[in-house]
Amino acid sequence: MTGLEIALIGVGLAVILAGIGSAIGVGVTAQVANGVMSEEPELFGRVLLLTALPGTQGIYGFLVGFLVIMKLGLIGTTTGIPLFKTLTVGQGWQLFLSCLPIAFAGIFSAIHQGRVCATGVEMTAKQPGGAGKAMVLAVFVEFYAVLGLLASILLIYRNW
Amino acid sequence: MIEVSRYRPAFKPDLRYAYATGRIRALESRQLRRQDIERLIEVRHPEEAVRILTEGGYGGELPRLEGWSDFEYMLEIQQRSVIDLLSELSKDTSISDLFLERYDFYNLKVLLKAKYSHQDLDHLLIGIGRTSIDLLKKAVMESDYRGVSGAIKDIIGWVDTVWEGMLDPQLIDVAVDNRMYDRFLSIVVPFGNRFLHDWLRLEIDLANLRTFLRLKWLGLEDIMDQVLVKGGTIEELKFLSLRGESWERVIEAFRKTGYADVVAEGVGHLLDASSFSRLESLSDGLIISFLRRAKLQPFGIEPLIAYVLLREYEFKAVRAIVVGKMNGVADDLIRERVVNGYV
Repeated sequence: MTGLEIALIGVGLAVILAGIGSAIGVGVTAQVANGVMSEEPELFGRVLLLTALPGTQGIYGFLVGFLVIMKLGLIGTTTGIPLFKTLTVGQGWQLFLSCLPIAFAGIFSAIHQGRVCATGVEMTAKQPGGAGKAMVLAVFVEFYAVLGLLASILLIYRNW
Repeated sequence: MIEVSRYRPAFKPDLRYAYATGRIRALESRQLRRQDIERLIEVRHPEEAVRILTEGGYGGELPRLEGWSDFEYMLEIQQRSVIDLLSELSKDTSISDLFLERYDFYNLKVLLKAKYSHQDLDHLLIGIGRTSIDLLKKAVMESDYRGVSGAIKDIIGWVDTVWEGMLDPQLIDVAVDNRMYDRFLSIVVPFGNRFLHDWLRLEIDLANLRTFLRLKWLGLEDIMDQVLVKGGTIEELKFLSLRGESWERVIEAFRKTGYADVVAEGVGHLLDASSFSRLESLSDGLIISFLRRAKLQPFGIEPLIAYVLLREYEFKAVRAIVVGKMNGVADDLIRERVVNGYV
């Protein structure tokens, strides 16, 4: 296996795992939100943010994948020889490992955040004024996805 | 033994019910609260209570509600809408059918009481259930069992042979409940939901407790072994061993169980006032407290089941208040019967 292939597997994992987590998280929250809005349609605005929040991990995963592709020089303009032409197996593994923090932090935090947001939507159904509080609690889970994102970015842009 | 105050539903979220749970949470915010019940008790005339209920959404599907005479119809529409909601949201038809069958058993009790007390109790029948009222009437009154389930046929035959000649119509409740819980256990146990099973076991325990105390009060303890329902958490032997014991001994026997308050206060009121009303309201209160534990469950069939049952208790409270007002019952007496369930 070449260094480029190993790095691209990392890109795939970051995008796919974080994306799966977000799809599950948003899916659960949206089902609950639909149930609430079938009785209280005026709550759409209040539950919208809670429903969208577990989607951020998918975006983080995509961002990390994009940064690796940029780093490899597969898209965009680069000065000199693009990295993917000279990438060693060792460098490929380094980029692969750089993708793992957001891949795993993304999938698990998105699923759990989806549950927090879904119960937040349930709370909003009973106390519409409580949507902000539910959002704050959901952000606590987001924090760990952000840490995963930062770790991945720092690893991608470390000095070779 | 089910300790209601410490009960925690098992955290096994069933995501198939995510939409249903969201919808139930929105509907729960429209349920009558304790202060609404107090407000209803304090009105002077039943028409006022009906007006408050109509404004609160009870008459929402009626084109026009002209007075208390439409009250039963209004409640029936509400009951039907709750059962329709359950049928729509439940992913398991056996469970929604179980709740429909509860109405069959209720109607059966009314018809059997009407038959043996030679009264017309048609106004108490509720037109919800798996079996139509006409078919049930034919089965009870004319022993024509076409169109009724085997379980109902068995109950009617059993009551006819065992209970004919019994003077207390309340014992018909005991007889029907006995078979009804057997039937429900046969559905709920294979279904494998702990909350649903625990609810049924709590219902059975409290039904057995009421039966035990009623038979003891009536001096009919010798038939106790025929009517106690199996499947609860209290062993049948415990009740049987208390036959012939003093009331103090009975209270003592349940002192360390989750039913201590129900037994102590219920028996106390029975001895003071010769009435089972306190026992009934405390039993209802305990089940309502149990059902409210479903609020701890984020997704699953539990919030849906709890909502359906809590609405039924709400209808029961509303009916007790309005009928009490119509019959000029004092506010305190209505409150005693109703409010415990809403504490």
